[in-house]
Amino acid sequence: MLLALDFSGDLPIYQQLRNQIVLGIAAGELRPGEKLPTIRSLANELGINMMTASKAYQMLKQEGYIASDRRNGAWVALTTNEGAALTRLEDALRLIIAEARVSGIDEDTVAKLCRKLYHEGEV
Amino acid sequence: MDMVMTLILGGTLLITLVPMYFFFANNRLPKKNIILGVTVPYAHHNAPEIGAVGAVYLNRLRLVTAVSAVFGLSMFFLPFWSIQIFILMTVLLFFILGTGLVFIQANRALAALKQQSGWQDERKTVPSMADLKAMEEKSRPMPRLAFLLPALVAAIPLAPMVQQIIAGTFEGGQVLGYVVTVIWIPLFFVLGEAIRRQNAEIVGTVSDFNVILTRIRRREYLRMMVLSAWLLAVCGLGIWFITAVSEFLFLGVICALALVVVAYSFKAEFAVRRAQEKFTQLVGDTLAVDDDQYWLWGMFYFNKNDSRILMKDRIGMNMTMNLGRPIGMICMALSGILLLAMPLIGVWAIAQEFSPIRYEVEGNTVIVTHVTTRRFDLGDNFTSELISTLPGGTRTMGTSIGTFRSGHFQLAGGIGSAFLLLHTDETPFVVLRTEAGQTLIFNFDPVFEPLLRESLQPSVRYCGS
Repeated sequence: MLLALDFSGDLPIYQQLRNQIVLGIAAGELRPGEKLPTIRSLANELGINMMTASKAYQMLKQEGYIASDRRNGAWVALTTNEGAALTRLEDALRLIIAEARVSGIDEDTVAKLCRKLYHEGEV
Repeated sequence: MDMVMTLILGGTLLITLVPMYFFFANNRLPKKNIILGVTVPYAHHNAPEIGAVGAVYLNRLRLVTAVSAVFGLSMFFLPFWSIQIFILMTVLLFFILGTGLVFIQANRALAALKQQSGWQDERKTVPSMADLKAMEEKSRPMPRLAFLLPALVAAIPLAPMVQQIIAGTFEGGQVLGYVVTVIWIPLFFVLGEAIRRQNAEIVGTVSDFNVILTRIRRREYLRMMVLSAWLLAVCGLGIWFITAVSEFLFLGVICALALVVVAYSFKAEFAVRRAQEKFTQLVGDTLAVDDDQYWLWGMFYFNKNDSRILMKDRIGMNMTMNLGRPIGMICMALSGILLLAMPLIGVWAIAQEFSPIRYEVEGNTVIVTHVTTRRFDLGDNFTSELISTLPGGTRTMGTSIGTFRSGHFQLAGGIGSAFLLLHTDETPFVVLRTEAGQTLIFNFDPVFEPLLRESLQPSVRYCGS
């Protein structure tokens, strides 16, 4: 599983980190139960602040993608709440669909693209 | 002995230039997706313009190496050791700055070519990556036992000294040098640990390759650190044991071990480079990261957003400092100052060897002027004697350049620990033992005559003219 951060990008580093771990889980590169590196080693490896790595892990934990404790560190543990995930998806899609509509992309194309991307990340 | 030292110094310099030349020449060949410190997409690696830049770089590198070698050879024809040191240091500085300048010129030329040709792929400017699987590989700690044995070997010379200290019969010696040797070995372990914690190697999206490369790099570093620890241990043991048998044998052993470490470091560097290149080819062009914007002249890493201080180089096993961090900038500036000050070591050696030694006596105080002025209070009950030859011995702490000796030495002939400030070829010598128990040895000078006559101790053997 490769993580790549773009320091000059607009997206905050912790968000980039969080997104890539979610993508890794969806693609099966990170399997349930698999251990994640410690916050310190991940921050050191990527050259980011420990607080940034910690924030990404906290987000992932709150969203139910990972679990952690003092003894075992962090690991992939899919305890996502479907309802909460659906709400987040709806919020994200609302903006994306609005952008698509403004750009003149029709409903069918958006739906096809969604289907394609959904199956791309299928484990 | 002087000729042997000249041969060792000059030989080391000339032998060092050869692998250094090949090391720098290797930079013109692609490693990963980098040529001469510039990221170039694979599709353009064989472009004739790049070959032309590489050819100019190679010619200039040859010129710098040849000039360095010719100047280096001149030291064999000069009899003074301090001047030889000056030449050695100046040639090394010239070679380092010259090769650096040639590299920067080639780097700038290639960077300009890249910009003109539009070879930059903006989509691939990803500066920071981590492979979670390769990270696991580097998380394994280094084996402590591998460093314990050389540390124990290095501590052997300390054992009789500790015994002497306990028995109250210790007469001084190179205890500090041996302690430093023993302390340095754990430092190799600490350095190895710091290196181990650096980024895992990433050559592509295939984690297995990244893991293997990280393992190779880690293994080579471990071996280099263990070898260096052994070199230091044998040095300590050699000073203690082999020197007593033959100084030539000791120098031979040290040179052989140093050559082994240098040869191994080059072997390791090229092994890692080869592996990087091989795995990159196997992976293909799917992950060609271009972070040239963070590498000044393709050499120095500068990224304020990166919290790391110690960075691994993009090619091979080298390390560099992140100049975007204040501590990195300070360390690099200090290194630069030390580098530029290298010829000053030669200037200092020349001043030591050629400054005249002036002796003065004021009552029971001896004033010696050589570069600086030092005062030695003899006290009321001192002894003095005149000796025609200086017994052999070893340096504890001080300077020994050509015939010049300054500092603390452990001498044979029943003298033991003594402070010397003299030229060995100017006989006879005055031996003064102060009331405080310190032994001072200087070249004879008429100003010492009153001291030699007035000494009340029966050991006085001087007969003034």
